[in-house]
Amino acid sequence: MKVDQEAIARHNRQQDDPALRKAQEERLMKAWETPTGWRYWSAVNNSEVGLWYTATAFAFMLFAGVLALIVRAQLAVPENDLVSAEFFNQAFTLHGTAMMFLFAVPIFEAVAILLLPQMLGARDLPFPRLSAFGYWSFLIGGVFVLGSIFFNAAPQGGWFMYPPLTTDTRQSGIGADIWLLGLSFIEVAAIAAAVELIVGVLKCRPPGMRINLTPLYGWYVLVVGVMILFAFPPLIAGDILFEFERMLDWPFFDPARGGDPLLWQHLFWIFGHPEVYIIFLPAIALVAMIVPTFAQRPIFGYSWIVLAAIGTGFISFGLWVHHMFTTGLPQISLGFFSAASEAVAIPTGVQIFAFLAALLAGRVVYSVPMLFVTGALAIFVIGGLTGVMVAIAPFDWQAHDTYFVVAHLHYVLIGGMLFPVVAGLYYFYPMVAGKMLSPRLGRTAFWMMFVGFNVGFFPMHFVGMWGMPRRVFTYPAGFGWELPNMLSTIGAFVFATGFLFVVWDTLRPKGRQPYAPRNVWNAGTLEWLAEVPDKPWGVRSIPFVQSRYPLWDQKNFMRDYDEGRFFLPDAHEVRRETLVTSIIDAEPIQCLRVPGPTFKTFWAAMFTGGVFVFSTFHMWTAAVVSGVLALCAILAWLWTGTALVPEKEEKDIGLGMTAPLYMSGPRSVGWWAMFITMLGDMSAFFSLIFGYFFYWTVHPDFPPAGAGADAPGWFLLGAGLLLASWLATTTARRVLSAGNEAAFPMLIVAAILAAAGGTAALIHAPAAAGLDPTADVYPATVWVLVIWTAVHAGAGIVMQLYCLARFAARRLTATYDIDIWNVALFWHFVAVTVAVTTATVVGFPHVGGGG
Amino acid sequence: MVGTRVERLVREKPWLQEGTGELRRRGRFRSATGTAFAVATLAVAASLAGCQGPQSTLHVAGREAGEMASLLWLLVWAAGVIWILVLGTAVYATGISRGPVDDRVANVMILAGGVFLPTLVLGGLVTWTVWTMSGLRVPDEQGLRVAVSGEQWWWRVAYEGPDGNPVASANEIRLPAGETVTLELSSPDVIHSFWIPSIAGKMDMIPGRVNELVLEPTKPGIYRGVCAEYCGTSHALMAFSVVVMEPDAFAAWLAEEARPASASSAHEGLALFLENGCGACHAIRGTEADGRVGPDLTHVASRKSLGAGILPVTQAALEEWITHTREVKPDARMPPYDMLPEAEIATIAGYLASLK
Amino acid sequence: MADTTTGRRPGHRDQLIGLTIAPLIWAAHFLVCYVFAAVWCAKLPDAGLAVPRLVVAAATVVALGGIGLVALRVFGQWGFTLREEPRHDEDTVAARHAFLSRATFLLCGLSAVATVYDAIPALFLSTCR
Repeated sequence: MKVDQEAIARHNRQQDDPALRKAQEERLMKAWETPTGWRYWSAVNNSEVGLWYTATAFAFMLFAGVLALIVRAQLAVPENDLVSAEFFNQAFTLHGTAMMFLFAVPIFEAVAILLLPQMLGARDLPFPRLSAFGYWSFLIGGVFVLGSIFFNAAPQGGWFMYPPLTTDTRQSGIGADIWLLGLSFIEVAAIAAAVELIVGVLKCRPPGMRINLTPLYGWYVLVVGVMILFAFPPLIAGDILFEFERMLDWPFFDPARGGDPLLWQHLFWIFGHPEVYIIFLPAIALVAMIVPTFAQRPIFGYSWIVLAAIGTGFISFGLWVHHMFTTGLPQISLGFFSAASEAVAIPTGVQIFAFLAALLAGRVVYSVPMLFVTGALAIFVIGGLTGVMVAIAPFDWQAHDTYFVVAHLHYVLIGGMLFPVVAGLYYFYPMVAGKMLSPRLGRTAFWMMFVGFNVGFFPMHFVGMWGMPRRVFTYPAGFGWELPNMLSTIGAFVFATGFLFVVWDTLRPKGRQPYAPRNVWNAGTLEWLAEVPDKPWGVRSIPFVQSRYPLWDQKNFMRDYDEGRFFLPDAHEVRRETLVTSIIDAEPIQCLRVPGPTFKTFWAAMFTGGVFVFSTFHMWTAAVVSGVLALCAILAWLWTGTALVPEKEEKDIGLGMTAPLYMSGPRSVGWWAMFITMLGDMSAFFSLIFGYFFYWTVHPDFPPAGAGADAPGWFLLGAGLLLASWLATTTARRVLSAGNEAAFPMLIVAAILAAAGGTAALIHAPAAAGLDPTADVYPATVWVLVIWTAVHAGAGIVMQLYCLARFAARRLTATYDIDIWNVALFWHFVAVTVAVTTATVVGFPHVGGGG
Repeated sequence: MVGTRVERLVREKPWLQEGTGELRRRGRFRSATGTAFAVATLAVAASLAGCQGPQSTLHVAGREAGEMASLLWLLVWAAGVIWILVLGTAVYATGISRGPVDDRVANVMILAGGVFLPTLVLGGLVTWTVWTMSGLRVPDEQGLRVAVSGEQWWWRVAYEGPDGNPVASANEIRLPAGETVTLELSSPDVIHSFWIPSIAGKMDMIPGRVNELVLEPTKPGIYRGVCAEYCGTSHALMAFSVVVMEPDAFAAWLAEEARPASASSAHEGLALFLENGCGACHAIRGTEADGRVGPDLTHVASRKSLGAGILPVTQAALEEWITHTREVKPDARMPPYDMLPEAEIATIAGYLASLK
Repeated sequence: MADTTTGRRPGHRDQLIGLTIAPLIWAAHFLVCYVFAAVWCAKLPDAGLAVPRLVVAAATVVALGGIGLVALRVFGQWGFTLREEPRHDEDTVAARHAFLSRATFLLCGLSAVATVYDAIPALFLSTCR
């Protein structure tokens, strides 16, 4: 970055004036003011949303914990009849579901939304309203799913929901729909958070924070965000197939009509295994922030840890079949997945040894967070080692679906996630709340949790090897299972009591307790710039960073920061602003205006939630009305809050630099958000395509003889028109950039007409070919691909209409063209979808057809 | 530099010092490690009594189970050593170490402990895994074949009889010791998983597929198998008895099993059985009862258990099962016949108890 | 994701995506091996694994070659030394380049090991059982 010493000196002289600083602070306070009263809930700022998110995730966790205690109480003694078989099955299903979907993954999003901007010295994430939308979706979906147990309507098919048990409507009631629809909704929220966080790490680092100076937490968030993009969509695709089977009787998993229950297992575990690492990596990221602070030295092996994070992210996608070692796949397939499952242990080991090295090479100061970190290590390493065991396919034939695996997964998740998160809670609490948690309560909690956990879960290894299967509501006496089960129950209750100490410590009134000193642990990273008590502006001025630990290494860093001697020390226009920087070297490229409080995102989430909730109960009219309202709310949100035309081209960001206020195309954050979202969308689409080819491998007559020859004309016409619409849209973008404002609306209108015609032709095509989706899996698969494509084309039409309206309202012009850039980008992906669908449905039967 | 930073920190932030002092004084971390070991020891002690259960993977009666049991102990020892090394380092670094080690040492530690050692050990494990797997579950084309279907919540069994015709049975598997048996596993309803821990690992039974599982039982005796995949309400109540016999005894038993029912067809219980429609679901070969929905009862009284491994085969248990079916096994397909007079129940149960 | 700085300094062409090349090669290798063997065994269950084993061998050679090329390109760009963090925690283009090169190299190592692991099953298994 080119630094103009004279400009810096000028900036410093200006900031020497206390009156000026006071005025700046007042303007900043006004711009970032948190709404009060009932309007508080319209807040979208990351510090508010992150806090709600974290609290809600912990509340759901406590609920799921109570379910676990019920499970343990039932299993305390053999032949127990404390609860019915049906209730027990609901309880363990909901326990697993809630811990995974409502706690383990969301707590990552929650903590990252809360902490990431602080660590990057940013005032907020680039899309605060998206975070708020995600939070409200999470809350609605979570309450919906968990509430079902009070109406005896909870899902009871296990958290993995294997069909045909769960597609059989006689054996699985409304609970299965609640699971599918409630969780799909939450998955959408997770993807929203991932988009937000990826763009945050890539584009919102402070000036000077080159990629090699990025805090490790940022690296982990980046890796996990990308993993979510590729892991969650396959499950969404699976959910779509599943719900189509349950509601419309399309036989995707029904072997009598060509379906296959194993397809669900593939899609579920392509999601489910990376998910373990999606849970583990962010927690270990907290450890990567805690360890240097208490070792009082920089992290050791920064590049090793980056290697481990990226390597784990990749390899975790090559493990999913190790959940299917007993399904009868050929040994060669098991071999590949055994190999990858062992390989993933290498980066994990590197990670752990890098932390150990940092501790050895530093001088450790002990405290409650370190206690939890050490406990996490003790527990997680056992989980990792048993993981290496169950990765051995023939050993897994014995261990699979027994209590050995229950022990393994709890050692991994509690050691790899819960303990680090509690360590993070004790570590970051003073930064967020301004008060210290009690070391005494913390130590008590730790020892109860640590001892309780080991007493509870260690015996499960044994009882599993002695033949006790998982998910049993009762077990017979006389096989030596009594003692270990009793120990497990006692341990579980001790563990839960220990956790209550944490809850109490967090919630207990601290009115009379003095504020904690600023940067209480003497840490070196940016989040500890936070004032005590915290100010709503995020950062007083956006720091210029020259080290991985600027608070340790940069002279007078905190003073300069406090006195606004860095970037954006002021909010002249009383608007919320933060800096966008370049990906590799974090050079300032834009001053981004971020939107403030609104209820629009709340309503958008409510109505979107309404679509899912009403659909669950087959209230179609209400669902459609809710969907239209959701669309209105989202459009209103976009119209009033995005791509705003600024009052001037660029502004002074301090230190003698200026930055533009508006930017479109690949340099803008919105374009990146669209691009990243569409990567996720593509992975869902390719999961459906995977389904098609999966059926091809299992059936000799898929696609059936003569498929693809019926009505190819309609398919090709539809595809052609949609591709024409894509060309028109991208051309419209180009002519507008070239300043031709007359041709633009004509091209867009043409694009809309082509898209509408194309969508209609495409939907008509399978009907014209006489494909009945309930008859067999082949027509069902064709239909689902066509519907997916048509829905995307439909969304594309809405976007084209939006651009037309924005153009008419002069909010989209040759200079201010964010909207059409993003819509054109969307249409690139629609074009890929159309081309692949057509090639598969019309083309493939000619190459790989059977019959 | 590092030293001064710590000293300054501890001077400025006394709560850190307090924590450190207390931890060091009481050696709490080591006491926790002690607790974990105590638990482990306790569990191991309990194992000596418990691992001999008929459903234990360590109560070995088959080649695959034997190889996995030996592997388990090897892995447990290796894992224990690694755990102690890692935790020892952590405890040393955080509690005992007096000064920071040189960066060079720390880097060598990452290379050795995090890279080279795991790469070699895990590479060895992968090789061992596929090499072992290639020698397991090799079918014997001439060997016995048994078709087993997992159904909610019982097991339908059909042996290849001496004359080539299938011999129907249920909820019990008999196997000749020292031979290689191929099981054809399927399911008509939901996914189940067939598992005899003492003999071999499990294999799923998936609707629409037939999975083959090769068993090599080695030691005659009575064992217990179980459904390992969650399959609905009464998944916990879906077990079966396994009887491994000397090959000659097995051949004799199979010939006997292939015969029709032994009890007199004039038994009053049979009349009641048929009158109440039991024959619509259950078959008793040699009588008019030829239902195919539920378990074949031709030799029900010669089996080791009733209701898929959950009750003994006694007069009382049979009566209990007939009258309180869904209390014994929630959501069972068979309706309870508690509306019949007690005497009739007793007669039916008596008849069934005579079906040796 | 191009860097916004230009010029002919070392590292002027650094891109974040470069970190992912070696793991992507691993992923491609993994998928080729798994998908080919799985489809082969689904379609020709009794044909034996001779052809898939050849494919795995060929894919492994190609993948290791590719990973080796990536590794060669970045090797030594960070000052090879046992001492960790030689230069790459500084606020300079050179440090950033050293970091990205080193991380890329380490990822090459991991990807190569994982690729070799994935080839092992083909050494020992010869039927679709």
